[in-house]
Amino acid sequence: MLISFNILKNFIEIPKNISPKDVGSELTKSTVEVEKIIDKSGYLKNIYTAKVENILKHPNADKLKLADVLVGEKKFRVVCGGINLREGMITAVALPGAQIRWHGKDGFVELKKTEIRGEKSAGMICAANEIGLYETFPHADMEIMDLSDLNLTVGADISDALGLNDVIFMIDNKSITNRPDLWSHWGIAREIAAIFNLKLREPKLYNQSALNDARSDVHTKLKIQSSQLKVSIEDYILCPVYFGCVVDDLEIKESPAWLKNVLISLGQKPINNIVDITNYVMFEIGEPLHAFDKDKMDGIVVRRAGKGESMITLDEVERKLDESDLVVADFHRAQSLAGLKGGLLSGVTQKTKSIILEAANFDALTIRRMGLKHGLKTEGSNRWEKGLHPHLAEIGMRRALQLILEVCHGAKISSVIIENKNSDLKPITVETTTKFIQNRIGKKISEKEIVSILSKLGFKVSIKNLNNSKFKLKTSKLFIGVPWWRSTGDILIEEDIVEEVARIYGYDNLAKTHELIELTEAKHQPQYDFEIKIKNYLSVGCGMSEVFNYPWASKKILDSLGINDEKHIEIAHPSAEDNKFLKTSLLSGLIKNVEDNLRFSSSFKLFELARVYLSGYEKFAGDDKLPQQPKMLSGAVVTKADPFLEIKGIVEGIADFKFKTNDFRENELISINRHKSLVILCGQEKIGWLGELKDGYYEKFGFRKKKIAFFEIDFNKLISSRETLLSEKKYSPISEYPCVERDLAFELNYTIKWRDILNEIEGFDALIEHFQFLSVYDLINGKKSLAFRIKYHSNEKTLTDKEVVDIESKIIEKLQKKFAANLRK
Amino acid sequence: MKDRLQKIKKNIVNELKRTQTINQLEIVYNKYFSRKSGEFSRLIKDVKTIAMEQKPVIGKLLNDVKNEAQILYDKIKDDILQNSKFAIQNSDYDPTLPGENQKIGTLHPITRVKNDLNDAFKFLGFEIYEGPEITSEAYAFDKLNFPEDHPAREIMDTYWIAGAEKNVGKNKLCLRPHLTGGSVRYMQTHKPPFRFVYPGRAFRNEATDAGHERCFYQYEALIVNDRISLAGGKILVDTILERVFGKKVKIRMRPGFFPFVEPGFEIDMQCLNCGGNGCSVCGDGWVEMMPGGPPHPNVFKAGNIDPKKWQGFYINIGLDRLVMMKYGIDDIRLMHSGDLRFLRQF
Repeated sequence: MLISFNILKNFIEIPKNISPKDVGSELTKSTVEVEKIIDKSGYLKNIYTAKVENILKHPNADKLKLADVLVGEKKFRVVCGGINLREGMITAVALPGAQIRWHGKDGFVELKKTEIRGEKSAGMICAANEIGLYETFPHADMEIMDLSDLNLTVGADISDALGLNDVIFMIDNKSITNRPDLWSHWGIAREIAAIFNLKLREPKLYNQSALNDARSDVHTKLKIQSSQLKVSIEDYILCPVYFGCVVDDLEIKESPAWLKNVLISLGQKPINNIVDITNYVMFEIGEPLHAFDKDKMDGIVVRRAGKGESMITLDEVERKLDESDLVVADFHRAQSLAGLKGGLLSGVTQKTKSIILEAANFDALTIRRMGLKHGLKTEGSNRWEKGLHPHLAEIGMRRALQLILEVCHGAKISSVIIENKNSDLKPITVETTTKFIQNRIGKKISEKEIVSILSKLGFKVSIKNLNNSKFKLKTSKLFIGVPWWRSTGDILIEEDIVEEVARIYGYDNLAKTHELIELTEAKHQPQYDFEIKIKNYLSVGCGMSEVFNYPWASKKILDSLGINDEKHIEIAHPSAEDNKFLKTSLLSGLIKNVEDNLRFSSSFKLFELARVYLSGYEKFAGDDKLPQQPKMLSGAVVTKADPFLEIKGIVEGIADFKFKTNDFRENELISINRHKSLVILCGQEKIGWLGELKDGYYEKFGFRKKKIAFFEIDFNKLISSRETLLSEKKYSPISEYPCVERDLAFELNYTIKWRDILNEIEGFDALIEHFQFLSVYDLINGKKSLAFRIKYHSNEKTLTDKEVVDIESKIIEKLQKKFAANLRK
Repeated sequence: MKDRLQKIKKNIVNELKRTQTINQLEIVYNKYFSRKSGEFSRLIKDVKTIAMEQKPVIGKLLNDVKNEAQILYDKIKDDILQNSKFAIQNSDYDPTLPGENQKIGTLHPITRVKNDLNDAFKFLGFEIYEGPEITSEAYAFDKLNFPEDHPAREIMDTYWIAGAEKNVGKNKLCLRPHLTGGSVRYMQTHKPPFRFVYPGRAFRNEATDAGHERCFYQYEALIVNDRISLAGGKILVDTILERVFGKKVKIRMRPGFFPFVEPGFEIDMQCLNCGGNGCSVCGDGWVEMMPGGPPHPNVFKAGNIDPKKWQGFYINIGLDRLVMMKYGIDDIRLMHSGDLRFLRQF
């Protein structure tokens, strides 16, 4: 929302020592964020109103003239090509230093003294489009600004003379969705008055006859009808009040310059006097108005649209309507989408002589839904959506009538019709205590100051002293009457009053307190310590980079991985096909990361810790029933060598896992090589898997000369297992006796796996302290050579050669027997 | 085969011994062991043709010959280098070469800042908590004092789960649009006073650009005791930001509207890029950091906590924004890019 400093000044006298920047910064701190302050007058410096005194021919050019212009006391000679140049006219003259926009060029350049066809020019006479004022002063090509009719002082700063010296505040709309009262200059002025302790002037309102009668009893059911116009409301919930007013003898024409200027400053395009006034009142007072051409209407009916009904709105779009639409109709057809957009048929045109001016109150939710449905968002609907107070309708109407009388000479207000139901206008009173306010703010603000702040904001405070004679305690209660403009649901409870006091008192003024200090037991949460440890292990320790992926998997990736999407939890209205399916495994995200990074990197390692979503149920705190959302720890290794053993090494570093051969049944893992994969066990429980991508899938993703392996572990199962190697360490004493290391190599059939050998040697003899894999290679004869090292050690003595050889021979014998293994010498 | 091997072995040994320079040595070595054309390498390929029962013996012989040759080669090379007048001196060592890359991995910048925040809050006695990512309308909106017709409930804003989107309340599921609902789960299961943080990701159905994501990270905290006030909340924010940024930062509290707090705040931090003078990062010198404020009495009630007896203060930090501010990242979409050129910078 844009707020004009000039309009604000109509409501409050702002002292010279308060700059627009001060106003902006205090508004931000106490009321609403001012996102930007734009000083309009800056663009028009060194441009003045001037009188053309004398015109001479240019000696060297037919189309150019030399003009002597008077700017205040000084006279300048300038070269001018304006076709409407005439002696005695008042125009705008730019002197060196002014910002000028040349024909056909973007942006402004600084004007300098120059020579045109041999004649010196001290400045230039401006066309409106050369100084960015075309919209206020539209003109034909080569026409200079003619300000003769405006009664201006010669030699004045043009921005002052034309009221263009405005400063515009850009207000953040999002932060005042709960404050319908702030959606106008009047509302913002009320806040500034309270913040800076200034007097607020009321807007000048039309104040006569029928409207006065109505005003005397606005809280009761009220119907004023006129013979000229019938008004009826069919749904008082969606439209609790409707003012219709007939204005006759109108001449529809351009608005006066001040009105056009102010609308342009607010980002609006001036249209004609009546439309401009309705717009202006909306920005000034906050009530969106509408004007119908009276001759096109035979009455006013506010009703829901019928099924199959349609109408053409002002933007010449045919709108199909149904019962969810609220329309303002006459007795034959819908004439406007209530609060959103007028109808083309009854729109105000050059030919309009009489109007029905509408000031009503429409239901916020209905207008919002209609806006969404019809794809319409207007300055009016923006305000309706916030829930405007019904009382604003009357003020809006009175203000508009006042302006019509000021701007449209000869206009006659013929009749005023009010249709009103006893809508919910009961005054709101909030009960609280000074102590409550002090406690919540954290500062002992005196009762006097609290009352003063609230009064400035329009609240009516009465204090009731409760004397408790028994304990000689004096307490008092505050009864706070909420002004009508804040009675829109925003102020209901005492916490709301706390905010009002605190924000005007100033959050910057809150002193330091020591409320954070509280000695409580230290909280030990090992699962979060473990998360940090494991991430450090994977990153610093294993050289992996942590990635964050989306929770959804694209259909394309799922298909490429051969994953059936049926069991996936789906999003009801995905923004795109790529976020319809919620992941059941992190694999799909990691393989996408691999694909993306292979364009820049040839070997790398990634990991991710995130939730996946399964269709079963999981218990969370709370009374709803939610799907399983286990946290998974997953990783990928991309290399030219053997990624399987590398990723297995990474996994082995996490915990003392057991592994078993692949029995994957999950459809997620169809892309994993069955022979190069393992199930990860923690105790007896299966908590994850690791494995290499299956042949065939490399080609699918275009991974050439690369090997890729993945792992995935259920993180919560892992941390609850307490077997992690990353947890607490225990020291074991370093032995004083030396150990003996002996290497052995066997020729073995490929069917014999390392695990088979390990099973035999583990626990074979108490003196075997360690058993270590050394190498495996192909013997080119259909068999492999497997070499390992055995470490013998005793805590009681130095082992003799014989003792070691004895054990070793038994091992050799056992392996030879069991696996037909040949010892290699 | 055996004979050929013996012969080739003899030749290799003799020829190697005759070499005098590194160059000659390499030529001889390649003559026999070059992978493609070496005489010995070709011999290995012939193993395929011999009888099965001979294979073990020949295989071993091949290995022995290769090993022996290798040992000899290494020794001769050492000798040549030792005796050369071009022997490398210590002073020839080039210490200006780059050090060996240790290939240390990296933590995601969000993890880094989250860890910093956890440290700061743990220091103040806060507990860490986590809520579910798929939640229900009851916890995403109802219990947080969102009116029934609040725009955030519409399909364009929240990702509702298919199959349950026609239900209401606790039977209508969605990806959480913010973390705050998790605080009600905590309140329902804990007795005040307490203080806890609950970091995580949230999801909103919106168009993505450099400043907006459909999946984003938040870091929320709630403190409930018998005295925390607006002033106390301000000090909390001060303390946390100072610890995260490692220096005093200036903050500004201003009114903001959020259904679950009363009064509601936007809390801004003075821009670290320009020191508050205004720049392209912040505009006017202030960066919007987080909303916050005391829980609305209706939220307390939803959490089974007596709003007359207890006071509280929420802070809801936009974690992505904080990370972007801290590291000068200008596009939020990088967070989910998985791009190592981005990730390896942290």
